[in-house]
Amino acid sequence: MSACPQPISRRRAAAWRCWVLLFGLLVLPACAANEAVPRGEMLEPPIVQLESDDPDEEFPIDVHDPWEGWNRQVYLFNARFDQMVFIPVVESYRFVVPDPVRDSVDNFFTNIDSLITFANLMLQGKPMAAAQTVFRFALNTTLGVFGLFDPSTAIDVPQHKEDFGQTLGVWGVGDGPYMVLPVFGPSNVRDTAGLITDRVAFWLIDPLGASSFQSDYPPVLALNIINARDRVEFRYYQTGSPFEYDLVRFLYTKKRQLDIAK
Amino acid sequence: MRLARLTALTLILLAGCQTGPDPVLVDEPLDPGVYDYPVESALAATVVGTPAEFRAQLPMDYPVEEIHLWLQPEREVPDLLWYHERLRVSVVRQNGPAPLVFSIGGTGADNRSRTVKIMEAILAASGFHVISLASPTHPNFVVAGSTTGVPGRVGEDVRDLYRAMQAAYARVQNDIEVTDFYLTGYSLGGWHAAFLAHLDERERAFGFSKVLLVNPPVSLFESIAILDQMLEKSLPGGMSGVKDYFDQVFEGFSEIYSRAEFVDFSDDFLYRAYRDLGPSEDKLGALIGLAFRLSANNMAFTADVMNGGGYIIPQGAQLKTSTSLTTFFKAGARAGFIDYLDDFYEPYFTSRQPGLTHEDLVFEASLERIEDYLRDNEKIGMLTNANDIILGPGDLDFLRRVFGERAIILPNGGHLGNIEHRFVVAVISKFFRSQPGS
Repeated sequence: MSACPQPISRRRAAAWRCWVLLFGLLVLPACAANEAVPRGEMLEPPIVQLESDDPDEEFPIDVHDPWEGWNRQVYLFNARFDQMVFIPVVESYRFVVPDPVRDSVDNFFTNIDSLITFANLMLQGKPMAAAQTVFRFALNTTLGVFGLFDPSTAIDVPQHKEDFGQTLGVWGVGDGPYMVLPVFGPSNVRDTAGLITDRVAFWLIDPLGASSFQSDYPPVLALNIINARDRVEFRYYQTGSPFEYDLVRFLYTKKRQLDIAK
Repeated sequence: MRLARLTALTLILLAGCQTGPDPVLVDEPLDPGVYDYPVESALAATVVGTPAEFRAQLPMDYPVEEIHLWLQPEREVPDLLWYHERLRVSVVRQNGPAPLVFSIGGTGADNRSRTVKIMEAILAASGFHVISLASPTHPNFVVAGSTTGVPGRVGEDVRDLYRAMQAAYARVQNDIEVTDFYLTGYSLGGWHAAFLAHLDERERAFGFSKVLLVNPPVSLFESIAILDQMLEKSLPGGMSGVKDYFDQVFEGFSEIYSRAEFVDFSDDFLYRAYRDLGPSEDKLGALIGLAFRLSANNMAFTADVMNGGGYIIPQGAQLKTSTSLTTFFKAGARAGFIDYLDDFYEPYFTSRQPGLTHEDLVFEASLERIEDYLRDNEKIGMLTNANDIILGPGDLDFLRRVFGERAIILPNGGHLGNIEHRFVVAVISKFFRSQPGS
């Protein structure tokens, strides 16, 4: 894919350090102890019985989450970050930039990211889908003017979305403990490893200069991030449920299972 | 009730895709067309809603302002529920003078819930100012709008709603020109609207000249019992069977999802899943029961937090933002709405009001209590479906008898399954646009 292999530049080494730091930040919570449900010894038991009478009862809402206390704090941080930074920025973006332009921005980054999808489809042994992805990329990059337009969708070329977390899943790697990543949101150990692998590989291989293009032009990177948030309709606490953390954890886990089975 | 779809729609949101095609603006009068809603099963209709080809083209890009009302500054909101300190209310303004419609959400809905947004879009496209409020059963209202923090009792909830409506209107009063006041609500919100109209006759803060009840329950306790029991009836073993049930549902979803044609979950996914999988009535009933259980669970837990615990939370337990709530979720899901009414709601009110009995509480929560008011009142209309699942035996006859010619009863659609249908949208729009008395 890469046209001219380059030695790892200083900038990329710095990026590496950044990822290692981020990884450290993500793994650190492993040390944080989980907040236990308050012990009822000194408390009047509630009217509703907390433990089930049925020892075999399995609740789908249960997801392996040994770092729950930390994860819930990160969830709260993300909600506040969203409220104070992300959503105001996204709303200004929506206000200032007309819909067709925003669509083009999204097309552009989706087109670049399809290289990640392509690589993962190959790793999963799905040559047909990989071929469709290459065809999409070629068509959108040329006829679609560097991916700003999406003629492939107009002629019904199937679109795929695969990441290394899914590839690991296809290879039989389990979810691992659930994690809430700062800013990124719900994940688990497998998908976090996948996310980092995808990004680092993309950075190192730098296909067609797509990666260094973004680091050379920080506004492009910023646009990438704003676009990514713009395209996700999820808003924190919109469910209104006091159990939103549990619901998101459950739905994320199920959604990823479906993605991997697909 | 719409939580069955909310669950699925949350999946869509998590998938990060845009839902549906760009909406088309309606600038001509809504064409009623014919009523040809295609889903016969009441349970299926309730779950899958209106397939895209039968839907009215509603604008979704009108400007909505969200205002945040701090109604109870004296009340301390626990850290756990910090995001519910203020009541969220949606406001749509028209340029120029127009009637203002207050719209109340159904069980577990807030101002942003799907059906609330549909009602809002219908009313906005019909040329009205709109103020949309959460149901008193939604956690946001329990925390920010309820004086007792114990939702469900008609007198208290209606007074709290009325206070919130006045506060919302006071906030926007200077920016909009209101020619008349209308009121509507769907499901439990329709039931609230009936009692609100009744209260307003005495208090006259607004003087509503048109009121439309959409798929209201007649007896609150009866409808709750129907929905509460739907889970046990449809799912062998009740909550113990939920794991297997979910596994089956997701297996079905997975099968459809993995076909090449489905890139993501689109708005019509549920309908196509229903058509392709042909789920049994029990499967559908279980989904509705679970969604209702989830709403009840949210409400009861929030009420418990606001009242210091004792119902699900051990009294005096310190819940922090890092505390796992999963145990409470599961315990609350095993119990139901009826347990909340028997073990929390009823003791709360009977202990504060000597002589109040269970029978009193049941009777006051039925439209039968204001039957005379509803019967003689030309300004109140009612729209429902003959196979609405929340109606008990005799309820449909009651609605027919009381509302007479002002009752519009469609043959199918379940509970709100047809709310987006062209015909239904046109009926709602026409009700408010027609001249009074015509």
